[in-house]
Amino acid sequence: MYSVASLTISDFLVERGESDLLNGLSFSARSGEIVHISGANGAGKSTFFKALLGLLPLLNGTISLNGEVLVRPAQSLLSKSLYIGHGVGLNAALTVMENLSWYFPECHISRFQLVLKELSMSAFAEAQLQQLSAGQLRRVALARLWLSDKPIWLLDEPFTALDQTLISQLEAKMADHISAGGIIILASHLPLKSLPFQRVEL
Amino acid sequence: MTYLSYFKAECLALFRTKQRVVNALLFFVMVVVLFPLGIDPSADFLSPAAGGIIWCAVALSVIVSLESMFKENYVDGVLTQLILSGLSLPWLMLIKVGVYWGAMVLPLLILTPIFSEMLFLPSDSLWVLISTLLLGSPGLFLIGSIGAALTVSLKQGAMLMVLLILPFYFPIIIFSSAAIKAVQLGMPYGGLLALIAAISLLALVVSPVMTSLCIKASVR
Ligand SMILES: Nc1ncnc2c1ncn2[C@@H]1O[C@H](COP(=O)(O)OP(=O)(O)OP(=O)(O)O)[C@@H](O)[C@H]1O
Ligand SMILES: [Mg+2]
Repeated sequence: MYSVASLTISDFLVERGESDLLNGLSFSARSGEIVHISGANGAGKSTFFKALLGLLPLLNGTISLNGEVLVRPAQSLLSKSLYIGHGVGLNAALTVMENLSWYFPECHISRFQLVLKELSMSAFAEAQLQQLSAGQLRRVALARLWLSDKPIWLLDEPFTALDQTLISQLEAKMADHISAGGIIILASHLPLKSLPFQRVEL
Repeated sequence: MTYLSYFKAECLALFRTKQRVVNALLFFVMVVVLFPLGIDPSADFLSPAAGGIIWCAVALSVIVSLESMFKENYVDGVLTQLILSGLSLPWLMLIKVGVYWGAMVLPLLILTPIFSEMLFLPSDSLWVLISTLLLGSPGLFLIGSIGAALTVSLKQGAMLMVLLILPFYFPIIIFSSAAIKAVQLGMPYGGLLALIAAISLLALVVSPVMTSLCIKASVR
């Protein structure tokens, strides 16, 4: 079980280029909940994650974790959350295995092999990232979900480039995560098929 | 992610993309070779100029090696993950610059005696040249990383980076070639070496913080 009870976002307003985005977005996610953010291209979904994580300044808005309002930079939020965005966050010069052991030096190789097997990527453990297809690259990026113990998942379009099998596998993994008491905030153009979620429209 | 695992990953990544370092070293070799070919191959001209020639070539090749040090990491979202890792970004940047420095300075120290022989540098000056390289090159890399971080989000950032950081290289280059001249003229040069070391130390304090500020401003 995770120790995070709730994450509340209120009155978010972010300046992006010429325009102001998010228009006072507010929602609250409790332990065991999924928040699904949807909206047209350019509505500000990715901007939301960046503002939440402190990569972009907030014009207005507060973040509270377990009922406590966070002062930025919000180290307590960063230390509890795992963010996977449009960029895969992998070092292109390294192999799949080397990338994983860079992120998780404390994990044993056999753990990586297990996760890669589950993602049907065993054959590519020693492959250079340049040799992977777009979906395979996303799988390696998503392997972090299997390996990390962070309670809050922030997923920006996690289903991009994935095939049907992996989409259902990812949904199953998300189900595990929320039943263990985690929180998931995801932005996606696809609705979740098998999971209950709270919908937020931008 | 830990500092150690980041250090290992950076070493491995630089080893895999060693072409970058090799290119910078080839650039160094070409610049040094062009001087005797293009101007005057006689010892009268080369002997007093050797220190300056080698230092200019070093400064240019450092820029070549650093120019794209953050580019791929920026595009792939690795920089974002570093910012969010919870580790101190200045330390991570210092690790990265340190790895680049190590990879470049060793081959440069091996090449320098060969080329100083070619440029008729007197052998007593060689040790001063090597000392200036050891003391001054950390400064070059640390200052260069600020420029690389500042221009990371620009498509055609290379030229801008050169224009931005070259002025900050001038003191190091001037004091280094002055130290080599001083030893050739039999004058004391200890003060100049101390100045070079001071610049590098100042860069050591300022650069990681500046680099991480620039990275944070670019990753949006
Ligand atoms: N680096 C930037 N500088 C200025 N404006 C930006 C930048 N990135 C995005 N924008 C603008 O901010 C708005 C929101 O972008 P954002 O990336 O948050 O959209 P999104 O909802 O994630 O879209 P998508 O579904 O395509 O991923 C867009 O109108 C875009 O033009
Ligand atoms: Mg987006």
